[in-house]
Amino acid sequence: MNIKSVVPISSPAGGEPHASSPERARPEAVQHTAFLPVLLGGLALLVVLGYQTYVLVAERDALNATHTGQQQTVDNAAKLRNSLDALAADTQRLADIGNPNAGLLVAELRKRGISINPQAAAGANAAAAAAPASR
Amino acid sequence: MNRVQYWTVTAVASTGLLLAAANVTMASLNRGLQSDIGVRQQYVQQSVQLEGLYREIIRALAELGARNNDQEVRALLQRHGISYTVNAPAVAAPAAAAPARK
Repeated sequence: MNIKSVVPISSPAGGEPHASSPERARPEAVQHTAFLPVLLGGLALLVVLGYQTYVLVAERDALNATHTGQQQTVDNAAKLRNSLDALAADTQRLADIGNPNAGLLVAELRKRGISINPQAAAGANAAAAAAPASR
Repeated sequence: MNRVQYWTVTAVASTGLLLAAANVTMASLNRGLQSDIGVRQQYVQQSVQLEGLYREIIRALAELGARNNDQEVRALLQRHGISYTVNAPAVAAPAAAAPARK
């Protein structure tokens, strides 16, 4: 069998590849940067942190409201403690100068494990009243 | 990454950093406030228990003062804004009358 003509696979110039070759089929390379992923990640982080800030601010408001609401009760409790301490101290002083009724009460309290120190009562009284109110 | 992109990402990251710092600070402050509220609540609860003791002391002093006609105890209670009156023994008349009926 005689071969009449030979068709070249590559172009006659030799430099250009054929149209169906892989290098020719790939589109032009798009330059990707890290901008978009980094931006998306940053925005996601902002959303999470922003939500957390919102929750914390709401929690702080609620805590402040509770703290303010407690103030009246704490003031009343401090007044009660002041009154109790003053009454106990006066009773102790009365017992110390020989009043039998006050002495009986002081002895009864001591039996229950409650001892009264008039000097300490006055000092602790002021501290107890000041401590919760100042916060 | 061009100049605009660089500054955009930097702004987002800076905001995130500020928010993170704010969150840490806020969480710490909230924890302190919560602890303070707990202390105050405990103070109030202890005071409720002391209120019972206060009432008992007043009642005991008033009873002792009235029973023994103790003017010092009466004056002590009055200094604290507490006064009491001794009722006339209402049961004395019927009790005295009862034997007469028999």
